[in-house]
Amino acid sequence: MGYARILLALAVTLSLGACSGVQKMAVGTTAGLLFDAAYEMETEPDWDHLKDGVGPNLKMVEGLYHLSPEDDDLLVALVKGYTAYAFAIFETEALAEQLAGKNDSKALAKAQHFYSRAIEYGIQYFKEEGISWNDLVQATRDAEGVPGLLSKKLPSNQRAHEGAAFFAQALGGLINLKKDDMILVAQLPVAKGMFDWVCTENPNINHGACNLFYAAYEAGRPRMLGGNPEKGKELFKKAMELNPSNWLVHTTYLQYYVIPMGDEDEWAEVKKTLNSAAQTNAANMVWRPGREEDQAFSNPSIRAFQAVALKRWEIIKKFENEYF
Amino acid sequence: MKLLSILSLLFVFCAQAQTVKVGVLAPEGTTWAKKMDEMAKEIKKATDGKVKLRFYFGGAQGDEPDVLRKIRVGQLHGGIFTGKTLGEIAGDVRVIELPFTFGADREKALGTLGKLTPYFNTKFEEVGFKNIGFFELGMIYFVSQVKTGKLDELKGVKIWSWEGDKLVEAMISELNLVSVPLPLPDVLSSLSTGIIQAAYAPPMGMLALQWNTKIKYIVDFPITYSVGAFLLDQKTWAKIPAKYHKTIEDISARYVTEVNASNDKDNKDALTVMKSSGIEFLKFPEADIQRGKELRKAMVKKLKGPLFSEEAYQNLSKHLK
Repeated sequence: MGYARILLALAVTLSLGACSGVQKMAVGTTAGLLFDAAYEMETEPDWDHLKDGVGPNLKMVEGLYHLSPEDDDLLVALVKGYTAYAFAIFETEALAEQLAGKNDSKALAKAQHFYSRAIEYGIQYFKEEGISWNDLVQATRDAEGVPGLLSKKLPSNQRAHEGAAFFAQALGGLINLKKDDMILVAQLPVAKGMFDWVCTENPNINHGACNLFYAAYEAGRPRMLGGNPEKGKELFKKAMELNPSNWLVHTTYLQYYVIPMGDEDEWAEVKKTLNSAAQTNAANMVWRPGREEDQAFSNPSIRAFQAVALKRWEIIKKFENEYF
Repeated sequence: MKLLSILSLLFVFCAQAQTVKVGVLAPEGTTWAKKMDEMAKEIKKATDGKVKLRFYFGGAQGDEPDVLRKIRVGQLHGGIFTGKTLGEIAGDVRVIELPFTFGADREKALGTLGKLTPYFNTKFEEVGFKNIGFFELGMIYFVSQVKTGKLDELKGVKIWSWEGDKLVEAMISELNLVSVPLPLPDVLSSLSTGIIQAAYAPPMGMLALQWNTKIKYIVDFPITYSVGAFLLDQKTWAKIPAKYHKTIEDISARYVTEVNASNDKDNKDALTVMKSSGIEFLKFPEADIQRGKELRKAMVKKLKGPLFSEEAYQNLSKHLK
């Protein structure tokens, strides 16, 4: 079922229902559908269209959550939605401003704001499951760590895996954008611990998100500060091999390893892949009778990932002369 | 005619912009990196684009020893160095890091560093480096998994040590600790497995390395003070037109001050985070502070000669009075 049908049904139900009981019932039955319908967003191949669509939909889900604040499906949809909004839209725009040397980036502020909102919903979702923020922080110092805590408290299902994965991504994303804030930097073990749990439970979640996180985690810090850029490179290579059509792995590799390390050979290789991907994608966006679909588009649920990757590539390649 | 050609070639060469490549460990996005980028922009503008500083953040050019090697072979022109590497360049500088010198008095440490800077700069120049400025890493604290509130309780505790760091070796030996030399990235996992029970670092370093997740105690009395220096290869500095030297020095001094203030704030924030996460802060007894002074004398005896000169020590003593 598509988003439009659900929205229409919901609007009719809500406008007809006069009392809050009816509204809550309507929200309850719709929330599960909305949770599933959110996957439709992942199939959007046009970045600008994605940008226009995500914000209003999130406001609508937020409105429903206001009516039914104990609904875990809605909470996880909000964690996922705001994380994706911050990452796919505003971090992408912030990248353009950052590479252009703009100090006062509005997009960066928006990305930080929406990651924060995702984190707040994540904290609320965990609270519903009996885990407080303080529990998470304390768990980083326990022998079993955050994974041990989550194993005890969270069910092993798709909703819990996605809730924890996107909560972790929002937290990691915010820390990455605010490396000048030591209080935030100190929370990195919480994000890492949540990823450790999700990636043990569901290693293939989100089309290579686990490999991507660990690769960026290792590559993003020098050895003297506990990172391992060479291991990060290996993990990126593995992730590209396992998810060849998720070009977001390629652009993240450029951002976290190739450009900072000044690796011109790798740049040339990834450039070839992404230029070819951009061409194939452009051809696929226009309908033509008898058009044969490229293998890269056989999985509709990575189309939004591809759209974000190609938008980022468009930005990154403009500044090629400044990297090496 | 030939002379004219040579002169015009020389003119073209002199008019060309000088790109100064600098390797830094601080990751992109940190206050340190942001300030260095701003400084580079201001220097470029103030020198009409003739001096461009290009920073390679996050260890993109390798760890400190790699950066030093690359400067020596001309691949890089500068770097920001700390502790052991700084001591390998000019050992005298490390007198400022002698344990039990400043206690918790950061202002005194910073003031003394300022007074000693002209002396240290001559030492850097003697070995081919221009010091653009000293950065403050902050006070070094001792952290552990075992309760070590008194000097006597330190005996036999297994502590990480940076291999080949003479200053740390002297301290460990005088405090009767058991030295376990390890690469810095292995400290976190070694605290987990029990290979080591203790370590030392400035608070912001502990958070960056996530040691806060493995330690139980912090001695609430800094052992020493720690600095870094932004060094340029003297030959590169000489190639920069002399008329820009003072401009670059003035701009750099302003940014160095800003970074130091920010590092101080980060260290204070880090201590607050550690306290709130349940790490116990151990009070250091007054009697041990006095004993620390005696231990310091013994360390000076060991280090004078192998690490720093008598002259450096006398200079430090003079400015401490």
